[in-house]
Amino acid sequence: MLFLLLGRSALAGKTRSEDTGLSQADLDTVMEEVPKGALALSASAVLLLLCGWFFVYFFIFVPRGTVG
Amino acid sequence: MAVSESDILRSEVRWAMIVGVAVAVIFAAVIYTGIELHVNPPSNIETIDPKALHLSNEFTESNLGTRVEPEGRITTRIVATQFAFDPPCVVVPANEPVTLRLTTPDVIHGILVTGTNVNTMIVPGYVAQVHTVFTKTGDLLMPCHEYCGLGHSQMWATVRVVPRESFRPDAEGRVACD
Amino acid sequence: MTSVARLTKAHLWIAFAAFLVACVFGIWQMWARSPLATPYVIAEHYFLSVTAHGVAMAFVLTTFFIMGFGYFTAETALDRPLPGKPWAWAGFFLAVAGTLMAVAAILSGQASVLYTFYPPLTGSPFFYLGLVLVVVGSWIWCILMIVAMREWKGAHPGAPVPLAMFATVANAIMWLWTTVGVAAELLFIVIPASLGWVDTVDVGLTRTLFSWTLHAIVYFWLFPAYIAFYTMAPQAAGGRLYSDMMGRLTFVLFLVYSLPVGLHHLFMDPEHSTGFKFVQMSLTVLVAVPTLLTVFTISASLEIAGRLRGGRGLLGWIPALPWDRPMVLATGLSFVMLFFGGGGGLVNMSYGLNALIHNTSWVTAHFHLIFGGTVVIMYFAICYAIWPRLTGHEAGTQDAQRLQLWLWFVGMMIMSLPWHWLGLHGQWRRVAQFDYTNPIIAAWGPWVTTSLVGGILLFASAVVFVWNLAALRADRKAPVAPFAFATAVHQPARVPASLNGFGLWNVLVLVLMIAAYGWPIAQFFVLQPPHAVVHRVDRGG
Repeated sequence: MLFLLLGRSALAGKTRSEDTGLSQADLDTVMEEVPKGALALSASAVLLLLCGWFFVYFFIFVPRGTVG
Repeated sequence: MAVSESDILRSEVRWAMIVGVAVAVIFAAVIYTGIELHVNPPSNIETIDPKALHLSNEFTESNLGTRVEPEGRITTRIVATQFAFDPPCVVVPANEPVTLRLTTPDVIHGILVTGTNVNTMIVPGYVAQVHTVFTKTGDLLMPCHEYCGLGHSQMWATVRVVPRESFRPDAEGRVACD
Repeated sequence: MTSVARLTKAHLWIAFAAFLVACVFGIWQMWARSPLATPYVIAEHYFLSVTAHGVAMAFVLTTFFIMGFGYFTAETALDRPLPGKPWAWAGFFLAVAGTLMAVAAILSGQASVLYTFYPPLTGSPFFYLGLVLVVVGSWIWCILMIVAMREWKGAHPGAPVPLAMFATVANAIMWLWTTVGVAAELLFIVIPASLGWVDTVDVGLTRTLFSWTLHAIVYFWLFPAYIAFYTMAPQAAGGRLYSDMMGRLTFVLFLVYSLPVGLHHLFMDPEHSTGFKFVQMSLTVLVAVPTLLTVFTISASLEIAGRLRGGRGLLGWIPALPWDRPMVLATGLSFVMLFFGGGGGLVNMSYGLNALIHNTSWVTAHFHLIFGGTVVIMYFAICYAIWPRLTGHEAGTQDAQRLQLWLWFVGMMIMSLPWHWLGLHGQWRRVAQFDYTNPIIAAWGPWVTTSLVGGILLFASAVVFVWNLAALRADRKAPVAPFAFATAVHQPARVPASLNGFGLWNVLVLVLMIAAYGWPIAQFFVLQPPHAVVHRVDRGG
């Protein structure tokens, strides 16, 4: 977690100038993989949200009885 | 091979379908809860003149609190005022259908009963009504949960849920805390 | 430096001055509600404080920030001078005058009705008139944004409006629609009552008109954060926006679906039928869609950046991202808070389930996470990104910026997660002090104290933030590169006319608003419910 705060790790070491030199070939290469990771990440987030919702529903809401 | 704009849009549509399913699941659960479990928001649109509650038959001082109606239904009537509930304590039986009816002569109030799903706004001009069944016995807190003026923090009442055998109406069908 | 630099900075300084003061009020309120002994706690002070906190955060911080950022975006994204700059200054001074009027009324204790008003409670007319001036100032901004886009389109026939500006104009148009409800409430009911022209008000009608505004206003606040997600974060991370088209679609969906859903704030009200509550609940479900589309599109954009930086595998791109950059860090933290805040929101909007948490601390937790967390942390990141262009000074190091963002995130989580728990246990809202001798309430004590610790961290973060902005004035002067918004993987040369303007969407908003709010408002004129007597808070009662 510390590297997120200080940003001194090897991973974060690349500089801004390299970003602007983004080549179409590099972009095409990574686009072969994208958005597999994004799909995995967002789908897990939505799944967790659904689980959370049903947890509240079944374990908190329903036991507290009916109102209407 | 370069990825085209239509590939990107296709992946977005695929994602949108996942989103659609997730949202539909919650939607279905909410509809089931409303229709099968009869859990709906309090929405009776029943008007009453807040300036003349004392002239209404129902919300006069002597008719407040819990009463077993002649036909057997149990109704609890409460008036919320700045900054107290009248009566400040009501008795209800456990595991029996109870109807709470609340109104106010002055400003907006609202109630919840801790540990239950009882929750409603009390809007001047309207009778708020909640049907419920209390399942746990004991003294529950019923605070005013909507800002109603400087005394709001001191405005709360007690709902005393008693076992059915301890719920003993008097000749008029009334049950009070003391 | 841009030519709107002074204009933008003037707006942002007002926004963050209000923000800092509001943080002081907020932390004191949490202290008062805790079991710890707190100085100055009497009801008059507490509700003055709640009113000031709400007005400063919800009306002043947001409106001024959005206006200032909008002017910056109009000039930067469109690459042409802002039209009608004198009007922009007029709007600014109008809004400042309104703010001062409202602040005077609040601080003199004549307007302790909270920022959501609650008629028949009625405060000083200066309070409401001041807020009207703020809104009128923001309307000038809306018109200038629309004019700026129109002039640009005239000069660039057929070209797609840059996404950042398209979104800004979507927000301006949405805000014009949004303010209709509260303007009608204030001008026709609340202000006449506060001037003593009428003695009674139709409370159901006022609540319904306010609900018209109450949900869309949150999306008004949220737009800058989404603009940053789409047009700044991919650039900052060193990648590309995954899809420009999805950005347009998202902003259009926000415009359309954030308006006809306000009745979900009145689920527990007796003056509306289950039918219309259900209709607006269904539309509320749809407003989750643009947010979830955004989560995917922005994740994919960041995935591009992470993979370009050598990230491998399904999720290896996440640690490969340049988390040292404030915009990237803020986006990540914002998404985490969106997860928790959005999860809470799903429960809120679920019709019958609303009874579980309505007017409890759960709701307070939800909107602090969504607005105070997800949105405001992006306001910080936007400032860090545009401040060098406004001042001509670049920060020597970004350590203090990173520290500030982390403090805000950690503080927000520590403050709001216990609030969810407290809300589920029935802790209700808007109360100065709890009776901790009551056994039910006594059990809440440790959680309330924990949340206060979060509040202290948030306050520390707020101070560091303002310090960071102020320090940039004095920091080393360096050549500052012109501001660049993110480009998409496929930067569109043409987009469908429907996604390059708002004519069609305005018609759709009108139709949906008539369907969703037509009868819920008309019923009060048909039903003629009894009115309630005005209760003044500014004349010793």
